[in-house]
Amino acid sequence: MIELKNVTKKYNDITALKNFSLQIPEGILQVLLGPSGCGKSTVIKLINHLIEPTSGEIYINNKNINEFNLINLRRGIGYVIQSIGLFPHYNVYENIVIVPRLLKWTKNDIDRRVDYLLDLVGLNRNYKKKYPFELSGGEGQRVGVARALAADPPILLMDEPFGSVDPLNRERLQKEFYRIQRELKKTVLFVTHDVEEAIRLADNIAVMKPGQLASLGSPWDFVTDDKEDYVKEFLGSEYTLKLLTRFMVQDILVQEKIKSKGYIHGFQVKKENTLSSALSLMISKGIDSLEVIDEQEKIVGSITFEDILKNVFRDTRK
Amino acid sequence: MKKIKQPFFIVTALLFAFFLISILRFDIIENVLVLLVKPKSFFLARVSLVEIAKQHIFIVIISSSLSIIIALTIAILTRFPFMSDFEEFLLGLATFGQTIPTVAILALLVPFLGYGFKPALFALFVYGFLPVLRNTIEGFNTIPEEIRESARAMGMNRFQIITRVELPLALPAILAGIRISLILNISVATIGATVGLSGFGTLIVNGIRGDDTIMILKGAIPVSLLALAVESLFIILEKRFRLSAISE
Amino acid sequence: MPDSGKKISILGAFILILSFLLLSFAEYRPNRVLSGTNIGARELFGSGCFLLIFLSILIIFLIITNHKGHKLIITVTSLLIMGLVLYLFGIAIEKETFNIIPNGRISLGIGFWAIFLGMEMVMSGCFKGDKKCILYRRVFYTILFLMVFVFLLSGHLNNLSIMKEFFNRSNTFFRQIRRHFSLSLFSVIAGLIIGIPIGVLIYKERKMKSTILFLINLGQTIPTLSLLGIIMVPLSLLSQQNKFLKDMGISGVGFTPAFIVLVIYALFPVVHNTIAGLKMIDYELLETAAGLGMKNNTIFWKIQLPLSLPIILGGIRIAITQSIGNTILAGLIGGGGLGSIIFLGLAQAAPDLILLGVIPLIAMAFLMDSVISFLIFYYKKRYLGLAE
Repeated sequence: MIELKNVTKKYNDITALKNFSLQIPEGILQVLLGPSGCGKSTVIKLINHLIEPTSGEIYINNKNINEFNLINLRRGIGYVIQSIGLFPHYNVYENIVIVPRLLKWTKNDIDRRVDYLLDLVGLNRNYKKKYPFELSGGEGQRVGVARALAADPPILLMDEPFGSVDPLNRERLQKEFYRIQRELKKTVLFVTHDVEEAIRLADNIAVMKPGQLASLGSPWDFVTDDKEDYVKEFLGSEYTLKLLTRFMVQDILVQEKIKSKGYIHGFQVKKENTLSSALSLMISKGIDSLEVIDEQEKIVGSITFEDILKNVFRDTRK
Repeated sequence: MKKIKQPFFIVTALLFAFFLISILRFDIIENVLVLLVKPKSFFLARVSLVEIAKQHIFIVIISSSLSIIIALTIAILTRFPFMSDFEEFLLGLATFGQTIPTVAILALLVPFLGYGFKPALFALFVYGFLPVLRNTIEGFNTIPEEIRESARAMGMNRFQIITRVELPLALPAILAGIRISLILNISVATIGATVGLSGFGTLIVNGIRGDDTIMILKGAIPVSLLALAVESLFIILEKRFRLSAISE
Repeated sequence: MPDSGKKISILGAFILILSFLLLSFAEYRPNRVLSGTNIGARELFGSGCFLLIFLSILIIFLIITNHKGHKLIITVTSLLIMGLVLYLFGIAIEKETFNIIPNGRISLGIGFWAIFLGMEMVMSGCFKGDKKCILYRRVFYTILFLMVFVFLLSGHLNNLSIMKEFFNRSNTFFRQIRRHFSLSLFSVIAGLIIGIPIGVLIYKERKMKSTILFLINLGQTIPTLSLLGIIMVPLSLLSQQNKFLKDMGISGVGFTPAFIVLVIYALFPVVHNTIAGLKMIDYELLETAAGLGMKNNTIFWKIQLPLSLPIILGGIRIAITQSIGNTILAGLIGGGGLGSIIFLGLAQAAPDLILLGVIPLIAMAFLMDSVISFLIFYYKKRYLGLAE
């Protein structure tokens, strides 16, 4: 568990963070969402002690971070930033094994770990000998994630990790990272300014305004109207629609064929598409139901507008 | 490692070979020159070019090794917090120092250190020192802050960051600094003849004073070849490390 | 003042104090070439020495108390120290305290160079992190130079050995300065006339780039003196065989070979920076210009040249400071310039004569460096809107 208590950070005359408090329970993916320059990155750098708070305390597992050995603290926290953080003079293998080597793991353990990590992040094992400049943005980012996970740290800090990747690859990376996090149950603090990214990944979202926490809750909590104007404005009026990108068609799939009411019009959607794309198709074709197909293009069920209404927002509408 | 094109090696080897021939068998070149230049009078001095080459190379090696070691040490020290405040000052000093003409420094040192080896050694040291210092500090500075931050965040200590990340990445810049320093030193050691340092410059200066073209060329040809050979050797080295830093 | 500059400034001020306490500020010699005895600041300046030390301590105090307005006071105090040193020095060598015999010589001691270093450190720390740092420091040094100049003109320092050397050869001195300056300036201008077209050509025809740059770099690699020697040989041959050239004044010694060597040396920075400047321009900008219907010629004169000018000027700056230094060698082959004074000093073992040649040389290099730096600064700010 990570806990920040009344943390203030000043750079000369500028206050980057003011009385900031946040608790991140174990195994949770916490997204820190806010416009650029609001102090998001400051929060991350405070946790792995790259910078010192002006006042306030930071605890990891109820132990003040000042009581940790600085080097050990950092080796126990994975850190991912935009792809430039890879060392250009090390190849993929060497980049991943930095921390295990610093921790003096045996060669065998390291090799096994690298293979495991490359599989985990979905990179071919023959990438080991490649250098960062030979990788695409998305591949570089996968290596970045693998490097952060190398020594199996319980905590991951990610500062706009997919910021420099093109939209298509970003979506793919987000999906895979979501899967990895759910599989490994790491405690993650993920910083971004992209609302959709926050929705896709977060267990919890903390919205920041300059230097301060504006609002905190699960992605569903932000659908309600009781948030302050700043938060509503930042999230945008289409927040609810964006929330649909978090779900895939298969999440709310009704396992039966379309029965009556003249539904048979032949418009189909893949089951791993997002709900927002399903909705978009419905609107564009002027219909309220779709057939759902799987990878083999076999019809596996159907989805209706009502299903979306009922299932996605049932928790929020009380 | 990507291969460096063969012509580079051939040119470098040829330059070194020509340099050796020029100091060992200058009489061959001399015979050709006498035909070409038809000097009015020339003095076939029994000077051993090998001896002169030894003296010239000796002072360059001594002063350059001193300046490289000290400049690298100081530049590396500026990476530590207690010295980091001096980085900008040193960089400014190095830039300013390089605008002061070499002969001026040599001449200025004579009143303090006398004629001959001592002022030359000191001037060579200073001029070798500045480019290495400057290039090393600038090489460190061009490393993106994100890389340094990643290294810190992974739990590398200051020493590990310097040896494993900063030095390898700055290596091409450092080598360029050493090359500039060596070439400059070969040149200053030649000019050193004007304050009484013996080397190839002595032949050139004496040749100019005695209007003896052969003697001028006897100094000028070998020292030019030496400078060119060292330059091309270092260009190969720089390419080698620039490549390996990125794509080995 | 940012905290990071404090250490340097304080160290600089300590160097000032230590030089006043320990180092020699004057050297007295019974005649021109004999080695002499050193005189420290306390003996030379008397009670004025304590005032100087007090001012240095004041600087340390101002640095430690760390207030924004203190920068100006520190600068003024530093200038005051320099002025006081020069003033007290003049008074000291006028008094006959040191029994200066008619042929005796008083010259500057190592303490002067040490307080220059100390001053540079104080200033460097003082303006560290300031955006206009370079500008402020250049202004400081300009005032410093002017101050020294005024003291020299006023006759206050006439008893100084270097001034005696100056009066011995005042008419040749100014002639040599003019000659030195015009030789370096014209060689750089010639370097520009040849170098900029080469740079543009290489930028357009990239195939030849490595070959031409390699050849130009050769000229830089070969030691200056050696290149001078090599150039002299064919020139003297030509002038021996060709009467016309000889009548033109072209020969193996003197002006011509020096000029050629200087031009070769000026080429590299000019060509290099011309290419760098042109390369730096965004390709899209050129496409836009072409899209607006500009001709290639217009694009070059209206867009490429103005935008790359700061970097080309940077090349000129390097070329001219280098050229001023290398022009010394002209003195070796009868080409004149300050080199002839320096080499005469070396030959006669007269340190003050050497100094008489070297000081205007460094001042000239520094002045040209400042002038072009200022041009770049002004041009960027006024025409390109870049504040730096």
